Amino acid sequence: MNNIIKVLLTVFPELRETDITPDLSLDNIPGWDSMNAINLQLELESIYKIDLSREALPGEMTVAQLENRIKVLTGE
Amino acid sequence: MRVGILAAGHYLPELEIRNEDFKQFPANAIPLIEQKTGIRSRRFAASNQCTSDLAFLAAKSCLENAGLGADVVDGIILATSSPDRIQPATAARVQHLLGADLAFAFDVNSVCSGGLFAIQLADGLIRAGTYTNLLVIAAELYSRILNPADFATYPYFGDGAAALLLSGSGGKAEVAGSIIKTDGSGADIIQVPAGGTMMPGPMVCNPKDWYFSMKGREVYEFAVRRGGEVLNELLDHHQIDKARIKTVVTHQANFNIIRAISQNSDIPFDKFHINLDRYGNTAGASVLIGLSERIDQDDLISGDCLVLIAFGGGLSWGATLIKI
Repeated sequence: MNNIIKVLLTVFPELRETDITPDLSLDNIPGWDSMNAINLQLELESIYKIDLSREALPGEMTVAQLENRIKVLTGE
Repeated sequence: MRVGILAAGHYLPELEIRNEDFKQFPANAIPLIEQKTGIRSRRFAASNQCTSDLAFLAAKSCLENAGLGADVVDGIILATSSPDRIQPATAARVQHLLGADLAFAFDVNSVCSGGLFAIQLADGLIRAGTYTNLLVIAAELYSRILNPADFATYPYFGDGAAALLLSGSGGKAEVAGSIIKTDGSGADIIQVPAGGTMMPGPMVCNPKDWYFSMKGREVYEFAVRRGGEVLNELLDHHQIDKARIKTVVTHQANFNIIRAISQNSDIPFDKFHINLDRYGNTAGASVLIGLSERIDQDDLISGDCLVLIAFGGGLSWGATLIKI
């Protein structure tokens, strides 16, 4: 979870750490749009050494769902 | 006094970068660039060019089109938000390159509205009777201030420059009037955080702070609202019927913003000049590049009206009425 928080704070500088909760959906993050979704995808791929498709990060996805998705892809 | 446009000119660097040339982004993200903005390609300056070089080449083209030498230029006002250096003014080097030894030269930074702010300034100086021939230049080299890894900014901008020679002694087109406005409460929406006195170089902790950033949603809503609003205000003030408008040249940020301004103003979209598909967003230079292209088409006749609209960082916005 800590790594995902770091990634989110890197990609979305207006997001405060205290606002990141498991049920926060991506499209409720300040600055979230289709362009920054690509930046999030690129940052996650770089940090976790995984391949994500653009469709893998829908706006309605929550932080908890994102964490689970990363766990599946990294085999943790 | 009548302030005329004696000539226009523009310069786009030779290097064309198409969307599919961006190998740093996922292949399946590339179509988004055109879908979201209408941009297909842009020009990037060569590594040995800086903003003043682009400005000089646009100004040289403008003077050649006017059939005049640099000795007639009383002053140079350069709009740029990507200057050569924090100081001196980028315009100073342009003056030297042109050999316009008698001209004063200074910069205006109102980001993407800069070209129109510079026109308004030059118009006022000529109308005051202080100067006769002023060169208004808008030049931007955003490829140097964008983060190549940022999909939210890097694909949408291009480099370019344009120039107008405004004069109190003639010209086929007349600068009939301008409106320029600023809302400083939005100063953080579009910015390059580092390098100024607020965050000087030694204080920079995050390398991303050296790059241009913007809040896309806020910019979109601001541009659509203010773009249509200032267009209507300008036409009301000058009592110009919309049917008289031959062409609207807006800042070239996003195809959807231009379409929304067209819809909100009831001016047909086919009257809006478009070059962002070829050049991307050339920031403060985009409106003057569009105007120069429009003048090059050589189909404007007496009685035609052109409207220029710009919006950008500051937040700033404005409009200029050109009468043929």
